[in-house]
Amino acid sequence: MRPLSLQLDWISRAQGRRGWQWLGAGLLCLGLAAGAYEISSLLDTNAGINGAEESLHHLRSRGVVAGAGVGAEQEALTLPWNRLLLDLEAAGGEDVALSSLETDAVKGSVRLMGEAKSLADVLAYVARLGVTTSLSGPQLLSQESRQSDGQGVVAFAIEARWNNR
Amino acid sequence: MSLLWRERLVATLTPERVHLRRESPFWRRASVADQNLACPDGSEGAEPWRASLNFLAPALDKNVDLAVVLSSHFVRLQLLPWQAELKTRAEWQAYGTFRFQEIYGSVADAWDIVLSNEPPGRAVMACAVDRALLDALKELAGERGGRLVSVQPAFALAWNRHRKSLGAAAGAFVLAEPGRLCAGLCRDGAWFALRNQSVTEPEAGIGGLLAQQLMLADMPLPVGEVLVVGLDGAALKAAAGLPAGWRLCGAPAKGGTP
Repeated sequence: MRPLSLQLDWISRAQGRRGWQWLGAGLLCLGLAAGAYEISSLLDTNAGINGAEESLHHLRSRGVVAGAGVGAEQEALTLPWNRLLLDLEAAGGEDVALSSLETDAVKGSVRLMGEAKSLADVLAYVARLGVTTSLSGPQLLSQESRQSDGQGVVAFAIEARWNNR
Repeated sequence: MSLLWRERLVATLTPERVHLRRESPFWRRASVADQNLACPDGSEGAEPWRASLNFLAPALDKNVDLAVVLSSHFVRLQLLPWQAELKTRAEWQAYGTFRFQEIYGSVADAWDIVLSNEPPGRAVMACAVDRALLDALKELAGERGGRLVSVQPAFALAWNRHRKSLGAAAGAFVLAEPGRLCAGLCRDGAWFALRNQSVTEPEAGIGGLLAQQLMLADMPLPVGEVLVVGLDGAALKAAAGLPAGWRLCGAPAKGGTP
């Protein structure tokens, strides 16, 4: 066992720790916290993109969403697909079947086409789309009664603004 | 150089030379440049440090953090026995001043004293330096737009750097400089003797100094280790006349001044 280190300093003992040193330490802590927050946000965003990719792939495999060029696809992946698809899924029901989904990222519009059992179901679907967070101002563009597998259905086209920002 | 990231200049002042070590502001152990200035006309008398200071002044860069290491020639050291009745730092400071005045008389009124932090029950190391030297260093740094950030005795820095090399329960640490030996003896984690003495031949005087201190301390220590380092940080490998049972131990080679 040996004696302790010798802190024999005429100056640093008199000065003590300067205020700006504490300020620097505080700023360093803030910087580290901000960095950690940014990393956490990045991980969340990545998870969201992965989810959107998965949903998009799922819908494409069902033929709901048409494929596009690689460049357009990459661009499209940066849009909030996940939220839109979740909203469409939530607004739909057993009485409505979507057959196609077209988006125009530049205009910020979404066009939905599908079939429902009746016009009332179509109108109810339009109303439900209107209260989603990703769509606003849905409008029924067209509706047409058809026969499908011996049953009467209403084919429809709806357009809405996509709140994609 | 940004004022937030000043270069640090470590100046070791001895009567014969001034050693300058420029350190990176980001990594203190990284030496940017070393410089040795010889002081052939070492001053004697009331202000033995004056000549070194005169050599330091023109070599001092602007806007640096100046840290000064003082040779044992420029400081006075003594051990203050533990005093249980002293409770505050101010009381210990007053006690230290009184002890220096007891030994050196009224000249000690012009000294600044600094005390080591020791656990209760252990002797406290006290070190004194001319207040005029501290004032002159502050003024010198201020004139160049820099700051005086540290003034420490070389003995303390050398001990802090090499203390782990001393492994035995009882030991002596000696800082050998040209013309002077500063020796501290310790046992079981406490200092029990301290001597800062001028000598003609440091290497030859180590054995006698240790024997004298052991005798004065009236402390029978049959075995012990002695670590002797120079101002350049190199450990001395041989010393004649060590007390029986005592042996030299080598410190790992570390460059630079203490």
